Amino acid sequence: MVDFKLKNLSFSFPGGEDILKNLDLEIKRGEFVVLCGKSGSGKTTLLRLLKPQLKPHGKQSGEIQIFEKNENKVSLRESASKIGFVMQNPELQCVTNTVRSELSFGLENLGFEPEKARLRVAETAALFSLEKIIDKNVCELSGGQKQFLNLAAATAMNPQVLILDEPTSQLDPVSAQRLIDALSMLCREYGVTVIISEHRLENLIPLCDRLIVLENGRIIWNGRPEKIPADILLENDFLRLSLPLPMRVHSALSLPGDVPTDISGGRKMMNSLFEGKALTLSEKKKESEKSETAVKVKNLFYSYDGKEYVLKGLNLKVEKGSFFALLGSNGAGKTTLLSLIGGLLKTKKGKIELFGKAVSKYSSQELYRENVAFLPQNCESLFAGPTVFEDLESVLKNEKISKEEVKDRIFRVSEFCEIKNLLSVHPYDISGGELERAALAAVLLKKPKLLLLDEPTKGLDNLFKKELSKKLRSLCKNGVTVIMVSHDTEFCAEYCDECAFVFDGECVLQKNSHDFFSDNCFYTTAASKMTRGILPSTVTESEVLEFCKKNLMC
Amino acid sequence: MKTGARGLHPVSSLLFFVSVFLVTLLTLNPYVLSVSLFCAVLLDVRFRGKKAVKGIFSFLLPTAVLITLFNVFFAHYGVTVLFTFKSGNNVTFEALVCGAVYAFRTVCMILWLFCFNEILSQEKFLFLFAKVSPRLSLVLSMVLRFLPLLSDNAEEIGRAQRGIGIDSKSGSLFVRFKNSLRAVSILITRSLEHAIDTANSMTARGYSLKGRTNSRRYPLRFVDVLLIVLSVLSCVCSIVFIESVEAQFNPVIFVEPPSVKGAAVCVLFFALCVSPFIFDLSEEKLWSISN
Repeated sequence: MVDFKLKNLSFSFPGGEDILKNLDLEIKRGEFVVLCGKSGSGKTTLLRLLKPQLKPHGKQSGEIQIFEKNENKVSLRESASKIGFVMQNPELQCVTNTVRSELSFGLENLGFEPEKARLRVAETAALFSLEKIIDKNVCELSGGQKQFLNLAAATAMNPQVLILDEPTSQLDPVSAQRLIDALSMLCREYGVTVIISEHRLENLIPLCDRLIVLENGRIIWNGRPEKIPADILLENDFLRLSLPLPMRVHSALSLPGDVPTDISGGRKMMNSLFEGKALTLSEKKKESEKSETAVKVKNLFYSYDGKEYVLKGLNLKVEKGSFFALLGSNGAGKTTLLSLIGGLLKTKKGKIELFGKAVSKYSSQELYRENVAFLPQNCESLFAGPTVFEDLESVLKNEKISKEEVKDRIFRVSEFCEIKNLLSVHPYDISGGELERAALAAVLLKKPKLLLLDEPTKGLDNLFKKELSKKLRSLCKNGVTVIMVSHDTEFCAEYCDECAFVFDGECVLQKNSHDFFSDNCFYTTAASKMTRGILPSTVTESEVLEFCKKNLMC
Repeated sequence: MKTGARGLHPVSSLLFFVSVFLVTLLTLNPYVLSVSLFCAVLLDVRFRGKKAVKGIFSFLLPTAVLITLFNVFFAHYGVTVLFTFKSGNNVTFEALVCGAVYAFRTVCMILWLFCFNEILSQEKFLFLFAKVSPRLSLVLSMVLRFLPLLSDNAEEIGRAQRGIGIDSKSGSLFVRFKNSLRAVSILITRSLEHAIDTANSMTARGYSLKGRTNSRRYPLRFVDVLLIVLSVLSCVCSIVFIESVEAQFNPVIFVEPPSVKGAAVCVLFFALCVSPFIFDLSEEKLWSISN
């Protein structure tokens, strides 16, 4: 049975170019389909066209068949009950105030009898293990729990198809994995068709039946991910960087044989390459000596309610001009620490020194002018519109500088952040990655010596991350100290100088990033997991590739 | 599903509180008020434990004393003069007693409000409204979801703005005002933008379809029926026999002497007020005995 069939489909928004161009696509019942593509490639538009209720307004040519009939013949009731849709932001999809009422919302809309609705809610709660939180208020749940609830609420209506538009981009890795596991279960055991668009493909590719790659509104690949031809990968940076590490390594070394999609496949590949071979070790790079301390945290305690301590005697030292990462699981106290360093929370017990002076001794004017700047997790909080330029202007409004200089500074910063073409656009009309760059620009206008970033890579694709890292590194070269909170081990291993592991309110490990990840057993990168015991301490993709090239050439 | 008094049916819970509030406010009779106060303390301590005891001693008692003193110093009716101020104003015994009675009635109402909060949860409120209109109940539920979201957003925006030096908590008054205005502007833009997503999520789950039902359910048990009967009886009885529980403090203290009718009002009212407590306690005890 075919759930969706697109015949020569093109779509354009009013007054715009075609965002989808001549698509032909067929999706069968029970398939697990992953959709990937740069932001702006038409992913969201394509997904919304598959759900009649969410169909965007615009000009369409070609035909869409849903459940083997023309889309116009699919009633709204059928579309509501048979096609579940989960969006990106976990917060905004919850409509009601409790978990229970959220689960029954859709069922009530469909006019389920109370008895049946309650049974279905019970079944769904049991399937997703929501029993413990069933009577909780939605605002008490974590982001990961909320997104899980959104999936459960869509599943409660017993859909034949689940469509998910970047559902894990706002989640931490553990919650993201949990969501993906649930999807896999729904697909394998209950025969639900899953269509998911995502940037992070590492965990999805081993599960999926089919990968569809969109570029500029066209399908450039539609099939098994391991069969993507080398020439497509070679010319498409975005796609190559999105693939899981074993696939990237396989293609970069142009190895023969099966393409491994997951870590265990990757280990097999490494084993067969290096088994019984004498290895030439690459030399360790000497760290350049830096002496000046930018941030010093001593015996820091913090509690929000006076009972439970989030930070318990934490010590930390960050050198000037370094790119420093704070890693750790949810609730370990990373963001609290960052807020304390940035003076957004008041230090009550313990000591934080910025450039040799206690944070509390800075006046807030002094602190946020040319000293510290804080980039929040949610960049939207910095922008009011109507244009990015005006928002940047208002950041400098309180400073006593001439209009010429304001313009000059904005001009220079936007050149650095590559947002010159976005200055006249409304901040809500640009993509997540662009907004991140605009937010970075806003923060840099204050000429900070210390830049604090709260999960800057959240929701960004790998190509964007690479660009961001270049910008941050060049800031560090100019003497700016950058501290970021992150879940993104790959990013930290590849680009950061030093990493610290925060656990249970303490900093349990602080080392340069290579040693950090090669010494850790479990909290480490995919490259380290893939090569552990086979290659000597390689923790990033570039290290693995360098090592392989060196040893396989001779 | 909650157990004990918290699991009472919404209708009986609502009737209970209507009746208790009405009778407590109807009269200044010290017997009736004592009954009300005693039961309110019992139930509140049962629900909130140490926190309730702490609240009574650290907040409610001082408030009561303050109200009493206020009445003593600013009301000068009554005939039994205790002493006279230099300004010529009398401090009277009647004003003291009247102030105390008012004070304890206020304390009593606050305690009942705490209990109200425990027994009539948001969910029960929504159930009551759903009977009137499913749509109205949904709107209320959405408002209850939206308000915490709004305040979270406001806090997040405030913090983000402070991190780039646009602080609404420091600087001159004008600057602070300007900066808060900016934060509010961001909050509104963002909320409107976000509303689109929520609306989409609702449509995606078939909100606009005809024939919406409501699946909330509360079983009507024996205790609920009992509570409803008691509420109605107590309320009616107090209104009919209001004269037998009359009390006045101006100009002289007059409390209607105990009578059969008065006793009936008090006993019924006591039975009503104490029943959630007994129900709550007995359910727990029965449970532990049977184990």
